Amino acid sequence: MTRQVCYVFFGHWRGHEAAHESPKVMTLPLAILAFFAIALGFVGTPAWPWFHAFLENRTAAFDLHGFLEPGLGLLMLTSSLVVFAGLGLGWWLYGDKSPQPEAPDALEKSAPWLWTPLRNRLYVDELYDATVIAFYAWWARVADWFDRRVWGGIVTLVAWLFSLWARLNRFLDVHWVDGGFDKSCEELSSGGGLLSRVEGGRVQNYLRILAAAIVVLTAILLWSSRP
Amino acid sequence: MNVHALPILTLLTLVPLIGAAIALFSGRHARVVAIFTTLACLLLALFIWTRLPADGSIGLVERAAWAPSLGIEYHLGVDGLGGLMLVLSAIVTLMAVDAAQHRVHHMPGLFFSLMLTLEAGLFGSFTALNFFHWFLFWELSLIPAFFLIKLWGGPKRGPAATQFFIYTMAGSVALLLSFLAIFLSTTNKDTPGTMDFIQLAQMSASGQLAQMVTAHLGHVMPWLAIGVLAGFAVKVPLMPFHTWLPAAYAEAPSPVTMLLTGAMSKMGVYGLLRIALPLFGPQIAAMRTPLLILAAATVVMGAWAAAAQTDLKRVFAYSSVNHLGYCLLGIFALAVPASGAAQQASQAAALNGVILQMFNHGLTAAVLFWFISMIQFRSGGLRGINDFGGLRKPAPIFAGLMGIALFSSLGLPGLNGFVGEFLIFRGVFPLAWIAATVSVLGLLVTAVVILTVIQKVFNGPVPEHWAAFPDLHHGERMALAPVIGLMFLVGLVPQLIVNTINPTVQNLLAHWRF
Repeated sequence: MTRQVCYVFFGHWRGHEAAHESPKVMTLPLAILAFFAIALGFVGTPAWPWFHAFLENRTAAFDLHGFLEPGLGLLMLTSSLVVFAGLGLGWWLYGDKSPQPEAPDALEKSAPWLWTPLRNRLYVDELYDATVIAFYAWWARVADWFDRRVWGGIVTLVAWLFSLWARLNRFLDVHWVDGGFDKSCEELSSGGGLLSRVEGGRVQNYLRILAAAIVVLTAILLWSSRP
Repeated sequence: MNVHALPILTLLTLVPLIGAAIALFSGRHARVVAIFTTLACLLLALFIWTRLPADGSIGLVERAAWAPSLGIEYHLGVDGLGGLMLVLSAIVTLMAVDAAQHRVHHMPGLFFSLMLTLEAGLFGSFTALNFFHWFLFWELSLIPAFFLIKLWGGPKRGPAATQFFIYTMAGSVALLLSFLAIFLSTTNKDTPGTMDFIQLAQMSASGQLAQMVTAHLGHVMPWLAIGVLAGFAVKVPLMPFHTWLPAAYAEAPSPVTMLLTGAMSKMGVYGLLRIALPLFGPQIAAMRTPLLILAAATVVMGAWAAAAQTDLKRVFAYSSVNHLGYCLLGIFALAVPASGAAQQASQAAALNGVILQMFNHGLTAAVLFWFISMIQFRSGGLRGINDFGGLRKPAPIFAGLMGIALFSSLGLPGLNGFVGEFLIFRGVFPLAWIAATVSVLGLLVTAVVILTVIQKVFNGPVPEHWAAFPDLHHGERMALAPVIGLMFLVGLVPQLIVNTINPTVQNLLAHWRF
């Protein structure tokens, strides 16, 4: 923050065009925000913990004794010291220096080992890319694969089994049912042909068959009546 | 005229059928016929919505003998659930007919006639209270949907339509067999069996149904429940019975996809609430854990599969799987005997959420597919997520309105998508916290998917060839404005719907036994 303030508001002007004050439409909302930024800080002090009390559904009375809470003074002192140390460090590095835009950062020159990770946002984005985002993309591919290959595969398998069943049915139909029917028709037809030769309507043929039959019958009778 | 004497539910189902007959012979004027018919249906549906009984029971009942010896009766009626589905179907069909402008050049008469027949199928199945009558319309809606995909769909329409038809038919056969078993079991030598939903629900609540089925057929009640669940699991869909959906949604012409996702998928959820839970409460409660696992998988894997798609229609097809997964999660989570007032309140919250989600998803998903059809129309058929970029610059109003629909789908507070999902999770967390926790991942991934669509399609640099991408014209803005307005209205004042559906929810929960 101190770096930001030093670069923008301290040192000499580094831009090309003349800077000017912002119009009221910008400064007025900023002033209101600034007022609340300062004023709201008092709402949460131990002397008047209004917001804390509001959340707990009770009213908070203003009482300076709130600051006397054990350990609080040390905490406030430490945090203030840390803040001022940061401000001082910032001013020491950047205060009133106005470096050229292309010049390396003061921290880059003095502590490059610190500058590089800071410049790369402590590699948080890279960490997310390698973990959360990579998992998200990988799992999306898995979900899609599962859908296409596993569930889709089962559907295809069922369809294939039905098609196989249909082929088997056709095979049975063509070769067994139809084949059996065709074969019996064929047999019937050839049997009919044979019979048609015997029963041709010629009396001479019938007499011949009768004569042959009489001979055969006589032979059987003789054979069966022998002692 | 006494409106109570008017068979208004019959009239509602007849109007689209008459419109379908007229549209069939109207040639290029068929769309005008369809628009007037669907507008009339919307007015009738809204009228019905205002005439629902205040106590949440079934009203506007129409009864007539049909084939008493077969347990078949002409029995119609609606409560808050059915009424809301009628309004949703009417809105979605009107939008779908409007979206078909300039997109149907081949046999427009038949196209709009089939759309109206589908609407009649929806109305019939959302009002029927007898299985035979309901099943007739359940199947009736399937046939026009099949031909609409098969005749006007994309390049792979044949396999997609066949897969859609076979899947749904297989589910329907399981459903039919279960009901035949029930009919036979409720038959005795003096009285014919029954297929009346209300009567069967009462018999189930008293334990009589299970006794009769066991006496006739042995311990088959769980199998009958599985048969009924299978029919609805395919239609909603529940993972792993969903593989027909991405192909059907992607290959169907966008107006038909709007109907498939906006209204037809709700037939499955409606069936679970009207038939499965009232009749098979204890059996579903016994299978609750595996069903919750499947519901959570539907939510999470649906969202993640959407993340891997590059075709916008497939992205939102999977997103639909995910969104309907929340309905299934709510339904299966509440199928548990309530042990106190807190659990009853959770069940009521979940069920209110499920019904709201049915309406909200129907509205939002249909609008999203409408936008995709507009993108396709403007880009000469392109719909790849990587085909576009920076469209908010040449088409700011398009981007703004589609952005609202996308944020509604994402579940942004203030829009309709939020209230249903919020209530579902409010109800499901105390009833099934593990499934709810896992399903929260689905919310997160959906948000990423939808933000990715916004980023890739509307943000970034504009490719040169899209620099003149046409923004919405006046007519399109006027058509979209009421729907977008409705998204805000339901998001900001959900009481408009909840006040009517909550008595129905209380009424249903009071009669269900798990």
